[in-house]
Order: sequence, then structure tokens, then C-alpha cells
Amino acid sequence: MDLCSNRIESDLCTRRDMLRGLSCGFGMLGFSQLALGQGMLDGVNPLAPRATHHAATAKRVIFLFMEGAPSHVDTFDYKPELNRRDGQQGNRNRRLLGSPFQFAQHGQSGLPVSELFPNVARHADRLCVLNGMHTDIPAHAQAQVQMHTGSTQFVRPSMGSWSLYGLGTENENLPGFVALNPPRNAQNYGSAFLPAHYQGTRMDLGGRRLRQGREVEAMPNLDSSRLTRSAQREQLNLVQSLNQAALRDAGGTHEGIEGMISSYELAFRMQDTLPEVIDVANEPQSIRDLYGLDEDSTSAFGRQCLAARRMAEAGVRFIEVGFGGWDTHRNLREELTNQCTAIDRPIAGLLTDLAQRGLLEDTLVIWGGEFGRTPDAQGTDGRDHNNKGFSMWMAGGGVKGGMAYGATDPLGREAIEGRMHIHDWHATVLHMLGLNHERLTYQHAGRDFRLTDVHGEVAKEILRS
Amino acid sequence: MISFLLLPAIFESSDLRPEETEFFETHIRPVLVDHCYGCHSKDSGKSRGGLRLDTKIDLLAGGATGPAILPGDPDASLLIQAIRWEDEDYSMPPRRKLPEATIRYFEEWVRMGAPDPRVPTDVAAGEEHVDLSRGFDPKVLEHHWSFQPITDPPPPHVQDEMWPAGAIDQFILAELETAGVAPNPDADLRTRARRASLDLTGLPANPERLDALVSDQNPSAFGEYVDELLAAPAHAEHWGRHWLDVARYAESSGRENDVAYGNAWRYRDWVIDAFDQDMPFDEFITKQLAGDLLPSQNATERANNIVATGYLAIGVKGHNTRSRREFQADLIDEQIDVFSQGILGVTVACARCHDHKYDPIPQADYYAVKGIFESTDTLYGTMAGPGNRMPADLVLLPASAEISGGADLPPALRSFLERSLERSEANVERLTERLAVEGRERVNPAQIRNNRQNAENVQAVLDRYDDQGQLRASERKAMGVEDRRVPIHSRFLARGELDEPRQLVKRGVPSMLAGSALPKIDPDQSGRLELAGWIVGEENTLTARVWANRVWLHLMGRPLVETPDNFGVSGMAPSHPDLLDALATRLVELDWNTDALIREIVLSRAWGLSNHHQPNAYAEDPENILYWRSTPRRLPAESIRDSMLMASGELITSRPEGSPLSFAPGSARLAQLQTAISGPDHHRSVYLPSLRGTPPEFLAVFDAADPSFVTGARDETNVPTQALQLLNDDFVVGRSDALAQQILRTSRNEQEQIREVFRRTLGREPTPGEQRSSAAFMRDVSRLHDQDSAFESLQSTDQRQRPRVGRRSSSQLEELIDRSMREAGIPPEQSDRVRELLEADELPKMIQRQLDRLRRQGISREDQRFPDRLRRLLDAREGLAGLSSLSSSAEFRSQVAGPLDARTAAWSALAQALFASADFLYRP
Repeated sequence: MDLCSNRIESDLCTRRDMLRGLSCGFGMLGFSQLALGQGMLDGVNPLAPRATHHAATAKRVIFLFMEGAPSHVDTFDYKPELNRRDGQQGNRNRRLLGSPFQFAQHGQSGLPVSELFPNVARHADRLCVLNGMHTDIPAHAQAQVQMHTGSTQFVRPSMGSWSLYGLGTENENLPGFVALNPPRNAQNYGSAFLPAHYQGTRMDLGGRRLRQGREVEAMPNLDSSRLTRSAQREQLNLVQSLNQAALRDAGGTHEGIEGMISSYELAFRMQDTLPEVIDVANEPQSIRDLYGLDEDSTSAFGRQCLAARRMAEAGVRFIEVGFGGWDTHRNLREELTNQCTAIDRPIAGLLTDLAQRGLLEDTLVIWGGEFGRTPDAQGTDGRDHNNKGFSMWMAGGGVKGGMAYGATDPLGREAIEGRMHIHDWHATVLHMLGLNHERLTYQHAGRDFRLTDVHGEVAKEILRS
Repeated sequence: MISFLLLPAIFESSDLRPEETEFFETHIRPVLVDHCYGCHSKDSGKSRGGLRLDTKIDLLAGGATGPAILPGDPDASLLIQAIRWEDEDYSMPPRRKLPEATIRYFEEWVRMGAPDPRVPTDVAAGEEHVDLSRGFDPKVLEHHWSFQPITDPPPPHVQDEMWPAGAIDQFILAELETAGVAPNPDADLRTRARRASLDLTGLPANPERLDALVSDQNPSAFGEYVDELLAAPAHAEHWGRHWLDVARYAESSGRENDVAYGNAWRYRDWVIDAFDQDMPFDEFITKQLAGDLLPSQNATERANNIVATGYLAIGVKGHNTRSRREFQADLIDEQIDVFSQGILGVTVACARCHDHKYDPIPQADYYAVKGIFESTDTLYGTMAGPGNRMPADLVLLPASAEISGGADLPPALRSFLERSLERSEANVERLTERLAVEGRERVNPAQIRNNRQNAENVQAVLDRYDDQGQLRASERKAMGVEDRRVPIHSRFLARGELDEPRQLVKRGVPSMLAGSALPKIDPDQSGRLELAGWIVGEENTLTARVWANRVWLHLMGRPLVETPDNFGVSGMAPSHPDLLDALATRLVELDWNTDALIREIVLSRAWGLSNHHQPNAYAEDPENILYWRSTPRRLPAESIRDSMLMASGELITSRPEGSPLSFAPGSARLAQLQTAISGPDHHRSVYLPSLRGTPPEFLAVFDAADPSFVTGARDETNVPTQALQLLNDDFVVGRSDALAQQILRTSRNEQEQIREVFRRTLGREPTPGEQRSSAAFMRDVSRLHDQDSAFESLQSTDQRQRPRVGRRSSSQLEELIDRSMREAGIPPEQSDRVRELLEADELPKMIQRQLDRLRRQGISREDQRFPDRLRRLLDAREGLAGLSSLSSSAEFRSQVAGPLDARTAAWSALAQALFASADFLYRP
């Protein structure tokens, strides 16, 4: 009789499965009491870990979202023909612009990567570059929303919310879907009609404000500005004694009050655990170097990547890390160089760090922006928006490494081979998480909804198994 | 039933005078055939820009850029503008301009009203035609409960005849007896009174009033108290909020650019006033759908009727859509969605692309309804600018109407806007000169355009106000709708695709749902009035049920139909079908008087039951579907916030004038800024500025409705972010401070103070145990304070709420500055340095020296030679200074309290603990 009747198919999500999940997956007593509101299915915590549709190769996702759309032909899609025709007539009375950056083959696979990513290139054999990406609309805001939710038109749940809805969370002390510096529009990490506990918890950290040792509120209300922790504990004890009394008065059973009692404890713990996850002060120098925390150019993004790794380690299901500034209509040479410098070492560090901790096996790392850029020059040193063909890459989590999948035409204008629309990309990511995109549904406004609407095809070719 | 599916193939006859026909045949048709049909006709198979010119309807419906003609107004007709070659983008025919004489004939023809004998006979041959009646099973009409007429069932017989206080209780008890579940005992009078106050007004009961009520021996005392609550303005605010959830009320467009709707507040106030005046629900609905078409007694009523149609204009919109036709189609889809879900409880919008999967709503019915809204202009009033390609006017309100002028323009904001205007104008001048010298490679022409646009918009905002900062009477406008000059029919779109048009569908209401009540649509009007008439008409099986179910939900905690916005086949069936019908029938009998229905429910025993847990009943019916107890639930977000303000004595119970968002020139940016810096707003939460992109944080955390959707029933989540908010949020601490200060002022000893803080927050006396634990808490805090480990800071939180540029602050202002820097193209690695420069009280010596040198050289900021980067820096500094001056205005400062002493802080911590307790947050 749940209002928002949950339609994960019964084989995925029977009450028994979930109870089993609770008893096996969680050693922690009390998690089942962490009742998170009325979205509960038959009284079971909606965030408890759930059985997948099929065996998963990835347990979690780190999505490095490049807001503003990086140029594919200057980074991961090598276009010798474009270089040859540099200066010749292109589209819309513009001249073709060969890439000013050198490409070289890397690793055993010989994957071409531009000189902008010297450190990431060392991981070439781990990367699966998707060169056949395409999306519907060449405008930032719409394309970003489509990339995150599948729809440009309607308010729909984001990919992270669907993942959390499908899989539940593995850490009782942290939110299951965290968005670090996401695009401003909350749709990009929102749960739309999915119950609110699947929403991404947005945190703005590691950005510019942190750089001079300034404190920053990564999440509002994570600390009391008035009471010390010990005084707050006294205060919370009083609150809880009042709550216990209210619970007794209510006859000993009251889902809301019981939920409140546990969520106060979680919140109180989060005040200490979350900053710990976010704070990188105690990392050894080797790790600081790995992520480039002490370099001005890399410290901001490095810190976010490190926080993402810590969250992944701590069991957060879906972590998005945003980095803007890729809209290189002008000053391509300089800006793209700066942009790539800022992320190259941190990303390489993240991949190394995940691998050395054995986490890369089941963590899917994704890199990319909302679309790509034109082979035609804008002015003499810029590129315009291009939604018809662009590149992303994936690593870890069961994806094949050292592989370029799909291709654009010789100029990089349009995806012609291994074409992957955003819906296909969503289907593929869900597949790696063990979820069938056609069966992960939720009923709303009289019909079943999916992340992929009525589209989506899993790119089997890029899967290791 | 089937007969309604067969749509008439022939529409209104043309009735042209012979000379009109002749004019058309001589001067117009040959030109269309020779020069236009090639790209814009069915025969050519082309409809470039979405436009076809086959019939008059096609001309009226228009293409991507809007209607091709406005009969009677050649200058405003796109077709005429195009053939005049006025705009280089729309010069038609594209190769060679028509002779001047021909153009004049077209102008004359439009001036005549565009008489056109080409009546669509439709039902064209071949693949164009779609069989509109295909594949639909009409049986669902006979089987599904909500499509059956509303009955008036007699109350059932019950065994315990003494229990029911009225018919409602008989329906409830009969089901309980059948299931063998005993109802809980009645809640005590005090609890019921507290509950009534929260349910009816959203505010906690006044403790003194409670004392008086409880000591009153008169058996009618509770009924009188309920009447008192129903008459209170707070009742209209609380129940108005319920409707605003259903009406997806917000003050901006949402979607990617979140354009501000500076006049949405008029609709908000209208809804609240309607509840305050006990407006019958049928009238309430009719006015929102067609108030502009209703007769009115005077200018004020006329103005209010127009404001009511704001319902159709305030929805989510993507103002950056490139195609007007697409924008229009989405806007209409949203209108159809909001009224069909919100009022009828069916999802008509599901039929945009195909027949409804479950309900008797053929796709053709969607286009029949669409025709009604396509014959309507929606005026939502936004200005063009970056991110907004779809500006629109507002509806002008009669000048003599006695209505609010909205918020006055604060002087600080005026000077901020004036500075913005000056800067934009200066930028235009400077950049234009530079463009001429340096060329497009160095200077982006878009920057000039944006600056010019901004200057125009800001100027337009300033022009609305007189010297005293009051809105000029000529500027009193509302969001709303108007009929188009000539109503049209909508084209059926195969798969809902704009480029797959099929035959015209005569506009009308959903034919199968209407059955024999199908109204005739006035050929000269849009049909909204007829739509409203059918919706509130006697034969409509949905409207009264849907509203009765919503009323029941807000009082009883769970609805009879668990899917309050979906009464269709895919929705849930009612738990008590007879009770639902009895309530719907009663509502109509009571002349659709919502308050009268509320009163009957609140005076039932079912509403007044205790909410205590009973193991036996719980085992039988854990979800309380049978209503054996009062359903336990948390207060709505607004009530939590308002109750804190009430307890601390800070609630401003009057209505604010207008909305701070009124001053936003189009984009929501300034609106956000204005909201962020306007300081603590202690009005009731329903009046808080509501932007879809940045909803009030405090409310959002407690599951306030997301205004992108029709929200009949809110979520009730229980997440740690709520706990963190109650423990640490500045607003909560601030209210606790204020309450503590008052307690200490008014009460003598600790015991009395504890009593008072309980009464103010929880509306009751503390139990002896609570007395003890509260006293113990105060001792613990004092002990910790003596050890110097109780307080991090004794600064008042209101002081910290004041946005301070440059220090640790989570305010929106901070975000906005960041975003502005990003958009100004300041690279992240430089932004820290730039921020410091901006925020420093004094400019660094190096820069100061540079400025001095420039001054000595006689180079002013207006000078070409003045370094660009330095100019940008100084501009930004002044912008920030403007913000600071706003936030430090006297009005704002007066609300900020100073630091506290340790004793007050300890009392504040106690008050906060009570705010954070289940007793405070849950309905009794």
C-alpha cells in the first residue's frame, strides 16, 4: 500500500532478499532501525544493500564530470586527417583546425592519448575510450541534464539516484550518493520522483575556497557553531530522552519517532565521520604527491579526487566529482592546457591509488563532459559545441582496458562507428552495476519510468565479462 | 460511447461574403500557390519551420516562431513581416521579394480579418490520416470506479450505535467492526485542540487559549474553537499552501535557467484570499481556468479573476528553448498536466504521444484539449536575455482595481540597479569602441549584446517604480492567460512529434470522460470556460471526489485514495468507496464549501481518536487503513518553521507586500541575491520567496513540495540532514536564542522558566521527569561552561546569518559570487587571489600605486588606455560593495542580536532541544 509503489521487479527486490541482505551484508546492529521514512518497502530500510539483477562487475561509480565540454579531438580522439587538412574550408564558413597538441601511442595497447595527459596516458592500458559518444542538444545546460538524467525535457531522477535506488548503500555513516561540486542545477543530482533519500548529497569542497587553508562548509549544518561536542552530546541526550518518552507515550511503536532516534545518532556520528572522510590533512606525503595536493595547479581537483577515493573506500555508492571551465570557444591552446594540467595528475593519482588498494577492480571510473567540440575553428584558436560526436572514457569496474571503442569520421565531426547515445551509456553503466536498465523501473504518475526511457543498448563489446 | 470518438470531419462553415472570397481568390491564393506552397504545404510534403499554409487554421496555428497571422493586425503578423523582408532571418520568399503591390494586398487581406475560404475538410486521403478511434477499449468506462457517477450512499448500520458522532463515523466504524478492530479511545480535549490548531492553521495553539478551552464546561466549546480557527487568516494561509502544492506554485521557471517570475506572488495571495473568503471550490476552480472570461461586477473583481488564471502561467518552462513552437507545445502540455492531475486526478498528458495506456483518454482527446490551450495566450512576463529566448508580456490589471501594489523598491536596491545599469552602459560603449579597433578576435560581440540587454532590462525594472519606490499603477500586472483573437483547432501529431502533423482535431474536453456531458464550445472563445464548466459540472465523476480526498488527507493523515493525483486505472482504489462518495456528495450539498466539510470531519470521532499504538489493532492493520487511530505524522515543513517562530515570539503574522523577487529583471540571479541579502524573513513560510532552482533550504530538508510537480501528498522522509539541521542550523539556534531571552525576561525562578519553555514550545506543562531532566541539563551545561567546554561561541546566529563577503559563510551569496567569477572567466586558480583583492578593505599597495600612476598620467577609467583587467577588478569591487551596503542597511541591522551570555546560551540550548524533540515535530 505504499504511496510510491516501488517497482523494482520482484526477483530483485523481495522482502526476503532484503532481509537476507540486511542480516549478511551488515554486521551492524541497529541499521535496520535506521528507518528512513515512509518510502520503506514493507518496513525495510530503502537504503539497505540489495541483490542485483545479474552479477555486477562494478560496485560503485566515480564519475569525473567535466562541465563545459572538453574537446575530444585534442585529448582522446586522434584525428590525423584533421591535422592534414588544417586551415582548409570547414563547416559554416569556418576553417578546420588541426589539433595543436601532439598525440602518441601509449602502453601495450598503443592507445593514442594527447600530450595534454602525460600522467593519465600511463594508465592507457586501463582506459576504455568511447569515441562514438553523441547526445541530442549542443547546449550546456540541457546536455548536462541529459547526461545526468537521460532527459532534456522533463525532471527525471539522476543516474546516481537510480543506482542508489537499485543497489542501496554500504555505509551507514555516510550518504549513498555524493555529488562533489556538481553543476548548479539540482536536477543533475536530484531524485525527482524517486523518494528523497535517493537524492545526491551535494558537497562543495576542494574547490578554490579551500586553497588557502580556509575552512569551508562542505555540507551545511555539519557542525555546531554554538555548542562544543560534549555540550551537544548532553543536549542530544536530553532530546533522545524526550523522544524515548514520546515513543513510550505513543505505545512503544512509532515508525517516525524510532526513525528520528536513529537518525539523530547517525547525524551526530556524521559530524565526526564525514569531515574525517573529507579531511586530507593526515594523508602521507606520498599520497599528497600522487594527487598533486601541494601544487597550485592540481591541488583543487586533487583534493576532490582523494575525497572521492576515500568515499569509495568507505562504501559510498555513487560519487560524482565535477570540474568546470572546458568551454574553450577561444584561447583553446592556453585554456585547454591549463584545464588538463589541473586534472591530469589527480586523475592518474586516483587510478593508481584505487589500483594499489585493490579498489579499481570493482570501482567504475568515468571521465567526460556533456558533449565535444567542433573540428572547425572558432576564431583562430577556439572550438564550438559539438553534440554529434565526442569522447569519454571508463576504467576499472569490469570494463576492458587499452581499448578505443567507436569512432568519429576522419575529422571528428560525427560518431560513425560504435555509436553510443547517452541512453546507451546509461544502460551500459547500469549493466556493470549489475542492473538491467529495462527492469530497473519506478512507478510514477501512472506509469513505469526508467533511466533510459524506452531506449538504451548495452555496449557489450567493452565489457570484460 | 463510441459516437464520441467519431470526430466531425467538417468544422465551422466559412460564412464569407462573396467579395471576401473573391479578394482571396484573386489576390492571395495565386501568390500562395506560386510562391509559398513549395515549402509550406501538404501537397509539397514540406512544412519548413513547422509552417504550413494550406488552410486558415494552419496560418493561425503558425510554425516554429508563432502564429503566421494575427487577423486584423498586419504589422504584428509574422507572415507580413516576412514578405516585407523586415528581418534578414525571415525574409520570404527567400530568393526574390514579392512586388510591393502584392505585399499591400496581403496587408489588406490581414486587415480584413484574413477571410479564407479554404475550410479544412480534412480526412485527407492516404497516410496522412489517422483513425482517431482505433484500438481503444471503451469498457473501462463501465468498470473503473472513478468514472461511475458519484453516489449518495446511506450511512451503514453499526453494532455500537452509541459510538458514531455522525455519518462519517458510521462509515469508519462499520469497516472496523467488520475487520474486528476496535477504535482507539478519544484523544483528550487538550490534545484534540492542539491537533485542530495545527491541522487548520498550521500553527501551534496558543497555550492560554488552551487553558481556557480545557476549563470550559460547555459541550459546544470545542466546536466553537474549531470555528474560531476556521475563521482565522492563518487557516487560509495553511490551506492555501495545500492548494499551492497541487498548483506547483513557485516564483521561477525551473529547468536550466530558472528565470524569475516576479509577479507569481499575486496568484499566491489570490489563493490564500480565496480560502479566507470561503470561496466555493467550484468557483475557485473555474476562476483559475477561465477567470478572464467571467463577467465581473467591478474592476477589482476583474483584476482578481485575471490573477486567478496565474494558475496556468506559473508552471515549469524552459525559456532557452530555440523553437517557439516546441516551447508552446511543452507549455500547453504542462498546463494540461497540471489541471488534469490536480483537479481531475487523471493524467491526460500521458496521451500526448499515444492513446492513454490505462485510462479512456484517446490521443485525439489530448489534441482536443490542446486546441483549447492553443487558442489561449499564456502571459508569464519575463525579459529576454542570456538564457531566455522566450520573453513574454504580463496581463495588465485594471488601473482602478483595489489591489496590492506589491513590494516597494528598496533604496539600496535601486542604487544597486542604477550602478548595474551604468556599468552595462559603460561596457557597451567601451566594448563597441574596442570592437571597432581590435576586431572580433579580441572582443566578443556577444558581450556587447548581453550588456545592452542587461541595461535595457534593468532600465525597465527601474521604470516600473515612481520616485518613492512604489509600483506605478500602470505597471500593476499579473501572470495569467487571455483568449487568442481567433481560436483555432489543434493538429493531431503522430507520436506527439511536431513534424508529424495529421488532421485537425476539434477543440473540446476529453470526450470519453465527458460522455453525455460533452459541452459545446463557443466558436469565438478558447473553450476554457466550457472546460471549467464541465470540470465542476454535476455529471463530472472526478472533481468532487478528488478534492474531498485531498481534504480528508490533510486532516486524517492518509487519503482514502492513496494516489491523490491519479484516480485512473493505474491509481489505487479507495479504501472506503462509500465514505468517499458520501464526502463528495456532501461537499456539493454544502455548495462546495471546503471549510464546512473540514468542520464536519474535525468534529467526527474518527478525527479525534488518540494516535497511540495498540498491539492488537496494529497487528491487524499496521498502516491504519481502517483509521482505528489518528495517523501519527510529522508536521509539514512550513509548520515546523512557523511554530519555531511562534514559540520565540518572532512570527510576523501579517502578509508581506508582494515578493522580493519582483525586482528581478528576468534572470533569477538578482532575485537570489536579493533573497540572500534581505536578511531573516520571519513571515509565515508560505510567503518565503520560492525559486524552483533554489527552494528555501530549511523547508526543502523537511520535504516541502517540489514545485516541478503536482504534489498531492508530500514525502515524509526521515534523514540525518534533518537531524543536522535541527542540531546545528542557524535559524533553529536563532529562534532558541530569542525564546531563551524572553523566558529569562519574564519568568522568575528556574522551575517556572522550565515550565514556560515547555508551554511555549510544546503547548503543555513538563512532566515531573521532564522537569528533572531539564534541570539536570542546565546543570550539566553550567558545569561544562565552568570547564570551558560548553560553548564554541556565544555569538548570536542572526549575526552570522548576515552574509559577510569573504569569511566563512554558507550563504547563497557566497555561491553566487563564485558563479559570477566563473562566468566572468576568472580561472579557478586565480579566483582566490581575485577574491582577496575584491574583499580587502584596502587595495594592495601594488595596485594602488598603479592606479596612482594612471591618474598622474591623466588616464581615467573611462579611458581606452586604462588596463582592462584593472577595470574589471574595480567593477567587481564596486559590485560587492553594493551588496555589502545592502546587507548592512539599517532595516537589516535592527534584526540582528548581539552576543549572548552563557546563561542565556544554556537556556537557548534547552529550548533548542525541545524544538528538536519528537513532541515538537510530530502532530499530537
